[in-house]
Amino acid sequence: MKNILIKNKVLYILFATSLFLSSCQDVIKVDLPKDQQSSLVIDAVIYSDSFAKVNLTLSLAYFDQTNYPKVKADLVTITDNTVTDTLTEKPVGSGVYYGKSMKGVIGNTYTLKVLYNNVEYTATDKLNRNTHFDSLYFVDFPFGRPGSPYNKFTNISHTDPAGLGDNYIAYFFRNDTAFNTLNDLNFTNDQFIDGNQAKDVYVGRPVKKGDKVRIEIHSLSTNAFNYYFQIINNAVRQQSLFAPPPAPYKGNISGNALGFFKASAVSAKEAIVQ
Amino acid sequence: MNYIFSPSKNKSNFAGLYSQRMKFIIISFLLINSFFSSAQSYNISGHVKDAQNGEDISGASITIKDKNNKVSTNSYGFYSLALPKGNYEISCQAANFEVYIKEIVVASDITLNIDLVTLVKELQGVTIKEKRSNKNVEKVEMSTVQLSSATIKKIPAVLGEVDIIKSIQLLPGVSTVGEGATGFNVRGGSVDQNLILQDEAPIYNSSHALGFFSVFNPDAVKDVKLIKGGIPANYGGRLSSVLDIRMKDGNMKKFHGSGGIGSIFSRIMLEGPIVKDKSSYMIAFRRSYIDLFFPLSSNDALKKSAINFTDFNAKFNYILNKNNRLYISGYYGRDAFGFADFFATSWGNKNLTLRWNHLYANRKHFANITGIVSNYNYDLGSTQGSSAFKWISNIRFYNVKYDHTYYINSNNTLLFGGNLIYYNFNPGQTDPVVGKSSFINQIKMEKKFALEPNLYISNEQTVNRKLTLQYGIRYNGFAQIGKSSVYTYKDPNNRIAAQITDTTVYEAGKIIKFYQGLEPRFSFKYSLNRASSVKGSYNRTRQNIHLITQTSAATPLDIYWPSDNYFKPQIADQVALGYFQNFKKNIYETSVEVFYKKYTNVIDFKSGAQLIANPALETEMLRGIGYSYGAEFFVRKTEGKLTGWISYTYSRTRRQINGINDDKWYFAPYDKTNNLSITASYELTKKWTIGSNCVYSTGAPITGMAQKFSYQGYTLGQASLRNSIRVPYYFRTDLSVSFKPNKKKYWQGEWVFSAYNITSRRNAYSLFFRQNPDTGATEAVRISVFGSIIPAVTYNFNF
Repeated sequence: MKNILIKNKVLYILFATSLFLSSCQDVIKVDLPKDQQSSLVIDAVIYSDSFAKVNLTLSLAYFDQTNYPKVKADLVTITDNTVTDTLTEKPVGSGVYYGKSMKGVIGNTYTLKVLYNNVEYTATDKLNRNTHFDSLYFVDFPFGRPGSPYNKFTNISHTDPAGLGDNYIAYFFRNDTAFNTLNDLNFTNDQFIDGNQAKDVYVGRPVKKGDKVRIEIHSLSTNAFNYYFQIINNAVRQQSLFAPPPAPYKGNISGNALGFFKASAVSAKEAIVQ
Repeated sequence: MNYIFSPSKNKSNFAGLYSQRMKFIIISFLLINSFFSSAQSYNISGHVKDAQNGEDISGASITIKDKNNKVSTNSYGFYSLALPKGNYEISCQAANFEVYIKEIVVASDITLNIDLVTLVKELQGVTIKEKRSNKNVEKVEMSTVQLSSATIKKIPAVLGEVDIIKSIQLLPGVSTVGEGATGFNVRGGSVDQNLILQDEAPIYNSSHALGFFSVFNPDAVKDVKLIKGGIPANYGGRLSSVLDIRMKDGNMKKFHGSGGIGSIFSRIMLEGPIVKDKSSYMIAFRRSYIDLFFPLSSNDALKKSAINFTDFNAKFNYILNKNNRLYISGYYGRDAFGFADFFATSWGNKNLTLRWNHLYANRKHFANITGIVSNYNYDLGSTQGSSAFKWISNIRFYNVKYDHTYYINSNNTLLFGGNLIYYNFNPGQTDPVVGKSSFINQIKMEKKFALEPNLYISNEQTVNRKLTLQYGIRYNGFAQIGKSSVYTYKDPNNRIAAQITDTTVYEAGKIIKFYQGLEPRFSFKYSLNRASSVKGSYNRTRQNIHLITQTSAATPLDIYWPSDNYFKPQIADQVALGYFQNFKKNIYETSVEVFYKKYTNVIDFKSGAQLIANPALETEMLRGIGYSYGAEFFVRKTEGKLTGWISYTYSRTRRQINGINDDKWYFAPYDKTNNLSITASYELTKKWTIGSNCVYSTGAPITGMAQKFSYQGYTLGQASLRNSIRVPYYFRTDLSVSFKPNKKKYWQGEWVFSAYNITSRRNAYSLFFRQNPDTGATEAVRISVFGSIIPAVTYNFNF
């Protein structure tokens, strides 16, 4: 999917160009600006046909290698403006909260509220329609190591619904294992392909004969797309010589909390590599 | 005395008016006096040339013994002065040439063409005659360094290749953000604030191979002049500096060639007369060649890959008669970089300059008309599968200039003229590749057009033997013209793409926005004695083309944008004061300069800005103010077995832009507090020379990560304030050894063995922050372009 987004592609080219030059990297000690304040982090999702899930933590100074402190909120709720679901922490002390009465529906807009330390944090996201996932198939991978069994690549075709504003992210699973590092992030919008069928789009990592491959496409709101774009800029492209500097995240949560509340529609296909 | 009875208000008015009038009268008197006092005089004029090859020498000083007459040759080597009847001793001096002295008898107008002889180093070094010029002390220009190609060739360079931009980075007040960065920063200015001229044509991207080499072929360069302050009124368009590079016109005496075979590229330059002393040509070519071996590879992907650069200079000039001369010069440079079908990118400058020199019959008035066409473009694309596309972007520039030098008399040289520039900016267009079933839709950013008229007048006045003044003014106009669309925002001060309330389309040629302003320029020199002087200057500069970037170094994908409704002209005011002193008969040149520079309408990007393919760049950029100040120390030894210089600069540069860092002052990305460069060359014997560079500078400020947090299983960093973290300091030492075998009849060879970064220090180009994929720890990673010593061998030749 990265292929179809020119902006991403331009960035990718710059990235590749600079990797070519920058063979020399090492870890060094750097002094950070003093007086860092910890913030509440809200990591929340609601998928189509599933209950909401919210994970609450605190942020740390960048070089602090301890675990993220878990957060106990006073109240966590989600609403589609008609029904409200109150989330419960499971297990207690984990900082992870689950909904129990309201599942995500395409087209609805959801509002999350978290009450913590007498401050109410709110976030709103729309559960957007998804692209039409047409097919999944395998093609030869020309740049594999000679002799490696991983000599195929997964391609997909999908048809973007007419009208701008559709965004999606693809997830790749090989033999039920998700490959979901920051470098695997693969998302796009329909700016360049609105209403068209996108064919021969590479997704995921090389595969070998007999592998079970599952691809999920999740729809994203434009805010969520922008959030993922910020992740790419801040966490993936930083290795490039021409990278723009990192920028503070702008999510959809009110106040000075970090993180994002995401609503997504999910469609999936599976196949065995022949 | 009746004003005693007048109310005090009138008194002050009267006194004020009186002093205004007095000033006017005094100034007029001074001017009249100096302009017309030598009415009964004869004209002495001519060209100053290099005796060896007939090249014009610009900036040579012509003085008359025991008089305070002093003029300089203009960019075409012409001078003119007036003397009453009598006997005089005329002398002419220029850097790296022997001082020329001649007795003349003036009884009528004289044409005196002067051929200067290159200084020959006296290796035994026992007697050094007073041959060396004290131009640096005597001339009114300050904050200016002129380097001949001979000087540049002595500096040990990256990968054994002499390089103009790398050389000027060793001068005081000039710095770079890091290794592999293109461009250079002058006195706290950004890279786009340098007016880089190659035979008067602007160069937008001065680098090849992503900054490792500059686009100027040193074999083809005649001389290089960098002006950091006291910028004369005939230059304009950029805030911080002028880098005026003049290419060789071509040897008027005999055929000659030079070149080199190096580890990265080879080069050749040929020059010679077409008709001796009447017309000549110069052509030069360079190409890198790693990729010439790619087709031999067994790897299909590598076979179709490219990484190379090429440049080609050609120049022709023709002396029509003693009053008219024509020049045509052209340049073509291209970089290509690509990997298989995946992507290909290329960029380059193209330009063509036509010049006609005319000397009027009075032999005091020299005019030059220049036409310049230049095009900087880049493309980027992929031919792979159904997402094949091509992205192109360019800036076209057309300029007609009419420049005059008028040698009013021996104490006043007037420069005046004007020009009109037409810009055509194409910020970017994406097309699907024809013939491929690409599903990419075309996107096209609107072109931008602008007209920029300029007028200037400037006088250099030798008031007396000690005091020289240069004063002038430049008018700058800038009109953004149609066809173009202008967006109206709900809040014009807080422009958000989602809040465009209206779009106005202006028809072709219609003025959308017009800016104008005056740029005063003033410099003085006051000699304390023959070997020392004090100089000062003030200049205002305006800039109407803006580099839109998020990286501190220039990249091949730079977007240039004209002043429009939202981007206002950037303005800089600079004052500089300097003390210049030479020792030991001008063998040691020293100077101390301090400067302060104030910027208005300086731009920086919003955090997280999207600059690629964005038609509303005004939504991503913010405007504010800034300042730089600093002190520069320079010691240079120009003669003897050991030559070279030490340069040290202390400087700071800050900005304040609402919307960045809570509206507080912050460091510009090229703020480098301390910069020290030492460059030396030692001639062991006639055959062997060793050279060394040593460079230290404070680390550049960057934006990094301050906090980290967890999202969807990822550890993400939250950015620090803009430019609040420093990369480690920069340090590098280079060594070179050159060996010149005995000269054959028509051939002089030279081997240059060099080692770059002999301490193998990993100088940080940049830092990035990441979660280590293996350990999960968050860490700062230094990227260095060169992590080790880089040896290189080059063979240079002359015939």
